[in-house]
Amino acid sequence: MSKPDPKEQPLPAGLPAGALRHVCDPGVFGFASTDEIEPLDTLFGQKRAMDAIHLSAQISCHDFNVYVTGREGSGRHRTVEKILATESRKHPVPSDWVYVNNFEAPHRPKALKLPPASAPGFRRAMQQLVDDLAVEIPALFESEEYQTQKRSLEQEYGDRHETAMADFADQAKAENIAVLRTPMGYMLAAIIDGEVVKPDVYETLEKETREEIRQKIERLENDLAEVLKMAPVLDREHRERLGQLHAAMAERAVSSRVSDAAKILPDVAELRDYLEDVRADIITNAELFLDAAPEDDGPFPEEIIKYHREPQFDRYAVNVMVTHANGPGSGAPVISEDVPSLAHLTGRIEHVSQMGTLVTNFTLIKPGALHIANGGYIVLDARHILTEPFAWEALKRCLQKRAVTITSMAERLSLSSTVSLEPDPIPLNLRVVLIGDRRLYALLAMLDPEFRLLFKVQADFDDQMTRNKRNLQLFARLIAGYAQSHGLRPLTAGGVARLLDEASRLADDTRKLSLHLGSLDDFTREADHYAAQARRSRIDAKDIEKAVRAAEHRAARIRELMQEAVICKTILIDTSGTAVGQINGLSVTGFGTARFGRPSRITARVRMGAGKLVDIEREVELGGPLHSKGILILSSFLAATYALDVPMSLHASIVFEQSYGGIDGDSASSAELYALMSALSGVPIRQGLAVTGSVNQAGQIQAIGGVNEKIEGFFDLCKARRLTGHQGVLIPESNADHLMLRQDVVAAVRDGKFRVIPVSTIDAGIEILTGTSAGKRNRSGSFPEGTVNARIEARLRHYAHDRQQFAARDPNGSKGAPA
Amino acid sequence: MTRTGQTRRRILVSAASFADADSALRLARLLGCGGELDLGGLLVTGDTLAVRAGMPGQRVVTPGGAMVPAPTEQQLRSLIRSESRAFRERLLNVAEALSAVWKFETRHGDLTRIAYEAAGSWDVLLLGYSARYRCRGSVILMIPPSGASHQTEALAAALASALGTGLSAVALEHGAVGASAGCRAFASREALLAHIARQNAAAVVSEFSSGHLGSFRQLQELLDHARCPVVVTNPAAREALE
Repeated sequence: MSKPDPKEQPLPAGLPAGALRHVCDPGVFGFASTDEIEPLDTLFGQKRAMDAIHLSAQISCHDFNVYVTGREGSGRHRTVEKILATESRKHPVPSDWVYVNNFEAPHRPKALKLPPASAPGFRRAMQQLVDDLAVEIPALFESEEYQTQKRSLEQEYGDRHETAMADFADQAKAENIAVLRTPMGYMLAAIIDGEVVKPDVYETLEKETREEIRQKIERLENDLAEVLKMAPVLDREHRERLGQLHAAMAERAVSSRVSDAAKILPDVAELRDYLEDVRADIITNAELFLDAAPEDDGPFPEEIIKYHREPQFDRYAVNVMVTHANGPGSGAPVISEDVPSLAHLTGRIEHVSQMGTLVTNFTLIKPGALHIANGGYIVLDARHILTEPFAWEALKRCLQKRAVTITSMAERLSLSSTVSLEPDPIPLNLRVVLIGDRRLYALLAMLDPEFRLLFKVQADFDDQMTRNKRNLQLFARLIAGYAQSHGLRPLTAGGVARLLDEASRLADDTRKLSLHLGSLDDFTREADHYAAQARRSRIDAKDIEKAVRAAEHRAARIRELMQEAVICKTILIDTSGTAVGQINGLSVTGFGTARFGRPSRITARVRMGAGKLVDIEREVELGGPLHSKGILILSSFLAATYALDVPMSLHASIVFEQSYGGIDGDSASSAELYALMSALSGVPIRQGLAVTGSVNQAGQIQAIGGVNEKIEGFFDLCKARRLTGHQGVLIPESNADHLMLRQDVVAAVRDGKFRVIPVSTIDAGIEILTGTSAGKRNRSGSFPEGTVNARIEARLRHYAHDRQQFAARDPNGSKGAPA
Repeated sequence: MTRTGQTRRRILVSAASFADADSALRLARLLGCGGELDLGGLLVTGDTLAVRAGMPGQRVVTPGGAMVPAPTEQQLRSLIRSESRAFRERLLNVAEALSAVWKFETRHGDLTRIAYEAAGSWDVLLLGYSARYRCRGSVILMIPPSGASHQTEALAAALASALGTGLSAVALEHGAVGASAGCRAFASREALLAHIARQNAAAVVSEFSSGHLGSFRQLQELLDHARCPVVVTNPAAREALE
């Protein structure tokens, strides 16, 4: 319950209005509008980070990849792009890479390294080779020369077959043996008097004659068997001779055409070896070209049919994995992969369905970003690659082995049972630029040992820079460059000044400028829109102000709802009067990108006890560890400051009233201590004041974050209820340099309707809050009577005495002898 | 003559086994294209074969050079039935493809004798002989001493063209053709047959004429030496069987 304001000590005036907002003077720039100044297209204020990126881009060591950290919107991507674009031009254009068939082991395609920009020409040369041979080889095999030689071979071997048989037939006939043909084969029988001997006649023959016939037949059967067994041997010999004839015929056309293809790149030894393999393979498989010949005259003349597209000629195809233009101004590639999945990064091997199964060949190998960036730079988002399955592991493996190996997800998971390939790994010479936040960097550095080995450079983008005249000028040029490059209106000097004030506000420090360029860019673009609506040719300070207020307003729904709840007394917050053990604390609440200050009532209750300070928030697990730490610190301060000669016999409880969400941080620990001191001393606290600041065990008030939002949050509530002139916020003195308050707050302070009061100690704060002197111990070790500290100490001693009395009491109720 | 004016051809295919018949039916299919056709099939199962198969210790040398025991009588009967069925089915297929009138019969006895006898009511006799060697040789036109008719020469040329092979002609020196251009002459019939025996021929084409293929024994001799299908025209000129 509130009590009338005490009159012992008046409220101090607090900081002057000029100290609450560091306003940039447009006059320091020396221009009226940004179109008068030279724009700056490079980032500044990030020398540390830019030097690191330059180092990584220039050094030749393979493991000096770089991790670029910093907040979103700090210009990391733009800076990386610009630096790499410059550095890449200093490096030569890397080689082209192609995959070609490995004729000895088709499942292991060969990688060939070719001079830059030469791969497409080589592919065309091979296609032309196939097209030419598809016309020439059939013509050769249709020529009279070939046909004659072929017929001659057939005749020769045919005649050899028949001659052997004829000789046997003659021999059998000479020995009076008939050769009878049966469906199963040949049967030999004796001939007597021109007739085949029948069994009954055979039995009548002399025994010697029968034996002679038997032996003769047996011998001739063996001879016949030998003649018949020669047939496959002759067949094989015929096929070999025919193969030699084919090879000889094909050789003439193939060697000539292969030589033509070799002239494309005469100095590449690997290519010469490959073309030699091609030559040998075509000669061996000349029938592929015979099968491709059209059976009849189709609509297209033979000369323009693209035979190389037929599937059987895939074995001579050239799969261009990567090719680089090699014109003036070319350099190493700079690739940014937005979707760094395993397949996008390392490439993939595609499959096609054939007769119910999936098959592949080297023409279905597709390059990944690592192939395309090979010899240059690749920029990856750290969070993206870490969230893609197996991508991070694959990248590390490629960097460690310094080669790109293509592995599919199915293979990694052992799910693949189809025909697959093991292409030659392509050597990798690459610089990786990972862009991510600091938390990810810390986690990787701590938990991934390979990360530290492969990413030896950290480029840490600063969040803010010093606010001085030089940097203000540079910033103005940066803004000019941004407006120009994005087609925005130029800014007046006032507009630039207002924008830079906002930069200080974002930095939470009047001595600094935030390098969170993304937010400033957003304000600039929105301000350009307002200037356009007002038909102005330049963006002025009021456009920037409007953009800032509009952004605040768009995010203010929750803030307004909370304030409304306080105004309606759904949430109880006093902004006038006094109360014992009750104080207005301040916290910052964030929703999305918006933050706002929110007052909360903190209360403390005390009684005799066993020295326990109950943090109700912690008891119900709504208090985080930092909040608990603050409570423990203030309780240590209490225990170490008062009634040191008696046991602590206090039972106290502290709570954030009507708070049902989590509480963390120690920025309210000083407010909690004030509430406790008020409860112990019985001295009421001015409810028109709110407090923020953490306290240490020595009673010193320490800096906190979000001081601007906290002050503005309490100001908005007081303003809604009508400013009385006796309201304000106590802040840590060390936060005075962080103040960049809104214009309306500054105006209220200037008019004496609101105060911002810096404090550095608990004693100073309790005096302002209670209007009662805190009191210092005198030489006798006691506090002056009537001071807050004296009352606190007296209360604690009283608790200790009562507790002692209670402990000595007879269980039946009578008092025991005094100690 | 048919109503359309085309001559109706009558081809008899005779063989001792399905494999031999198949080789002849391939040629019959080529010869039968264009025009109306009567197609006959005659399977002749030799009695000598059956008798010989009954001999103790009799063996058969297979085309692959292996030696196996000769079939039993029962096996032979089964074999003959299956050969007959296969021959008939293939004949039917060819006849349907050529839209030919067909008939088929099986007889028992000597192949060339029965075929020679049956050829009288046909225009062309095709004696089948399965080739052992996969590559097709040329067609040999065996010119009788009295010279070959235009029909026979045309048939040989058409057959060679259809097979995509060459055509060579052989004759006896003292014949009407003699050593004419494009024809190889031999001093004796034995020499001529010996030459044919050593050729890888796709087919031998000739015609019945007195003293040339005038008897079934001469026909048998030609078939034994040619070891390929034999095509014989002009059956009217064959001599009567003894």
